[in-house]
Amino acid sequence: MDNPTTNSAKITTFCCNWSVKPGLRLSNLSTDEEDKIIVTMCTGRVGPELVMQAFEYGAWGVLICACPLGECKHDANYKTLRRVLLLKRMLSQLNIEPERVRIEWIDTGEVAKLQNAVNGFYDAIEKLGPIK
Amino acid sequence: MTRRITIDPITRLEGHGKIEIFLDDKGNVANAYLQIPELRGFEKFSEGRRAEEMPRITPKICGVCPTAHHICSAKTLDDLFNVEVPPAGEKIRELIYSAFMFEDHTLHFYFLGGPDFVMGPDADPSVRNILGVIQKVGVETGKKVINIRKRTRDIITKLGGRVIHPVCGLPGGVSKGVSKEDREEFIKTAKDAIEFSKFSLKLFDDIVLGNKEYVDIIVGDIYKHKTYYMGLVDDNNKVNFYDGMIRVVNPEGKEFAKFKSRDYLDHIEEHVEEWSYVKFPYLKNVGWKGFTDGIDSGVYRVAPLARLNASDGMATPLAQEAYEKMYDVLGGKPAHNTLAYHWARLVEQMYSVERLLELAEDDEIMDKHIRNIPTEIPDEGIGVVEAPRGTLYHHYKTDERGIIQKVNLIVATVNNSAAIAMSVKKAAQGLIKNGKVSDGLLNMVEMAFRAYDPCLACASHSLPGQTPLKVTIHDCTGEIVRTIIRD
Amino acid sequence: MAKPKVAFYWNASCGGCEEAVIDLAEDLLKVADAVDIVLWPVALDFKKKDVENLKDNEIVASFINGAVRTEEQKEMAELLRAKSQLVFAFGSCAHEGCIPGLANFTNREGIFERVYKTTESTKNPEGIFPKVKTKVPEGELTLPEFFDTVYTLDQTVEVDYYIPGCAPPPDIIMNAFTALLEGNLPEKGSVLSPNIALCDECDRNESKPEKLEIPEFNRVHQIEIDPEKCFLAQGIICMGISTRSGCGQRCINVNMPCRGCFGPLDGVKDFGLRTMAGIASIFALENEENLSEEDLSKLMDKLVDPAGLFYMYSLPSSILRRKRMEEK
Ligand code: SF4
Ligand code: SF4
Repeated sequence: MDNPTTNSAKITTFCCNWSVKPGLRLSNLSTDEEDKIIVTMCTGRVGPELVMQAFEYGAWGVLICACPLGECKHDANYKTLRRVLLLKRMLSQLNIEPERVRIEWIDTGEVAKLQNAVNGFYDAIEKLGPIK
Repeated sequence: MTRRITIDPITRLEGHGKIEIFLDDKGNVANAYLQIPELRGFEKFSEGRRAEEMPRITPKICGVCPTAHHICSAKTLDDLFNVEVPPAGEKIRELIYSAFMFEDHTLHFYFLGGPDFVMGPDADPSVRNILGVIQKVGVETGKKVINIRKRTRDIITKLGGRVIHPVCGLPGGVSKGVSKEDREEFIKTAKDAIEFSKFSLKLFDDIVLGNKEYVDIIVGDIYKHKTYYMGLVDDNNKVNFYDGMIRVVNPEGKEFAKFKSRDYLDHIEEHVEEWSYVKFPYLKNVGWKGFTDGIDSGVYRVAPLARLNASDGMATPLAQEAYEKMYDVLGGKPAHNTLAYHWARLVEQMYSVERLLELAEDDEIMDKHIRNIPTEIPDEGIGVVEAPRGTLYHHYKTDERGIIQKVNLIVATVNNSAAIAMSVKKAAQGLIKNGKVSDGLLNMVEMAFRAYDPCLACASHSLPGQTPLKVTIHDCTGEIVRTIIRD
Repeated sequence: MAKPKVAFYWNASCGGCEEAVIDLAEDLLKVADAVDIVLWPVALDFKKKDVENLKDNEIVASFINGAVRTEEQKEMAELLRAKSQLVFAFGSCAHEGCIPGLANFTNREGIFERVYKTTESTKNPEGIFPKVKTKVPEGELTLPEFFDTVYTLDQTVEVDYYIPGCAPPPDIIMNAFTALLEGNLPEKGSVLSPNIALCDECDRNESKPEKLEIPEFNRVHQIEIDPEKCFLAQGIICMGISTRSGCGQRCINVNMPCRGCFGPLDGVKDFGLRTMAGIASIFALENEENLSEEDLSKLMDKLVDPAGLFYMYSLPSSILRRKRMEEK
């Protein structure tokens, strides 16, 4: 949720419903004012257009939290990875730092890892600043 | 008081090209400028692209002569990847190219430039267009023009995929071969096109050469410039559109240089002016001396008349015949008469279809071996063809993955940009005396301009088309004294 | 009844769209009979004033080709919009920016630097660049100024219909004219070509793979191309998966893959990304489980120039529209 009074980084996080959402509930992240956390059925649904739309709506960075490689029930996280890899390449050709998109592998119950992933990404994006 | 005349084809070529003429205080022409107000930057945005996509990227420089860019680009890739094209591949490319030269020259002669002659330079402008031509030569002929152009364009569609922006060229060959049925069709088309070319030459004979007034205009001084000439020639110094060495003759017709495309940088340089987006190429070994002709000026000309001047003749019999006749009438080589470009275009039209027939009848054209796969690491490539409007150079550098690092292009019409401005200036000088601007000026200046078939799409990257002119005469304060519009 | 007034106009274009209209040949004469062409720079005389003097909405339809990159072009597009009931974006440049739109990988400065200074054949020791205004001994000369960015037509004025393709083929053009004349036009905003992917009408569709076994990205010049088999099955990127049909498979017919000149299907926000997403799902690897993220990353490096490829025809109409340029 955007907070117009701060200049702090705006990141959008996409989380998988199956592996990540349970952990999300246990963490305190969802109440964090500066974060947008969007739960999707499977990160296989998080296409590059969606990622770019997040940027269009003002995100400074986009984090995708997916099931660890090989563990996705829908066998889609390799697809997600391939897309993210290509997207990063396209972004850097367009002079947008590829680090603004990150994919993290998080299993059910890895609450601390999730929290660290979000916070770590947040810090990295804060350093980069907004997209000019 | 300096007055200024703007010849502004903006009425039909919005923002795509204009000529400014300035008069001195006596009312005589002080100077003339051809301005190309558009630029697209293919040289820059091609950087980073895949080399093999260049034959699909560069045709968009010009939708009138996309085939020239396409084939030139494929040839540049041959050189870049250092790959030989198998004979059938070369022949298919040249076949496509010959069909293209024919349809393009036909477009110009009948739709764009020809009406000046067919209808006569002083005809009412409202009939100086294709419709007027059709009326004069008959509806049947008009249909013939449309039909033969369509059939030759179909050859390009068949082998190139799209006639506007073909896609078949690859380093080492082409992507599609010629089937037996195709070939039979091509032979038929080529034969009919030869008949059509005979008809065109005859038409020129009857209407233009049969009229002393026209002949006087052609050979007259207003449309004359003694320049260098450039064109591609084969081993026997005969005109070739697809391949060969670049030959340059001096204003006296003597060979000045003969070089491979690879060495073009030793011979050509480009000059930049603040007032045009187009550059002005000149012969490096003569130097840029400004907008002036003669043996000491590096200004050279390209395209039909220049190609004929730079060669020792045509490689096919009927074209050779027409070539000889032309130089007979013009009084020998080289011919400096700008308006003879129209005539030379018809000589070339004949050559293109005679060559088309030769290629279609060649059994090897159906050979299945149409391309070789490159095996070498790419580095640098230079290609050349004769586009309808002049010598066209593509030059690419890549990294070892075949990603474009640098592109340089010298595009057909651009070679003529200095000469076009000079021709316009000279025509204006001949027609504007002591402040009197003849109404005929418009027609006559336009003719000088149009003889070159200046494809501003190539230069500026827009379309030629008919160029109606608007002349605005300003006094030195910029006040408009008089406006003449040719409509 | 008076014939409907129609206008043709070109902005920054190569002239191919004009040729496409001329290529209608005899059909063109039919169209010319049925309408009153008030503006057509390539064939008819034209004065901007004449258009200005028309009443608002007096033109039934304006067909505008070319992208928009100068102030003049923008003004003309606005003028035609005001005078026309319908505006058709004609051809890929007006529709999505096309190949000249690749100029959005750079800007005016980048182009100037290369074209007028560093090109190998240019001799320009004084560093002269073309200027909007130049004093010459006889007076002053002017050139139009260029935008840094290439815009599509609908980024400039409201567009009612799109005629896709580079260049649009004759039947697509004729269908549009016929629909206009017969009052059969679909919903506003439509692209006038079937809303199905090229793949779905492609002769090679049967051999199109769900997933690829070969972990390779081949380039057209690198392999012998089987003229019967789907390009994707040969490891060659073909954009037919996401490209609107209607071209008659012109490139595929001569054994070259589609590069997307017809643009996307309805509802797609970013054609290049949609294509990339499709390609990324098909290029699944057999032994993926054994690959690390790094291995996969190396493999993706083989898909060179992804932005140039996937945005070949559509960079200006993408979400980002252009490369971000460093601020000075
Ligand atoms: S990917 Fe290309 S070749 Fe394959 S089915 Fe689709 S359009 Fe045809
Ligand atoms: S195959 Fe693709 S690139 Fe070729 S004409 Fe059709 S839509 Fe355009």
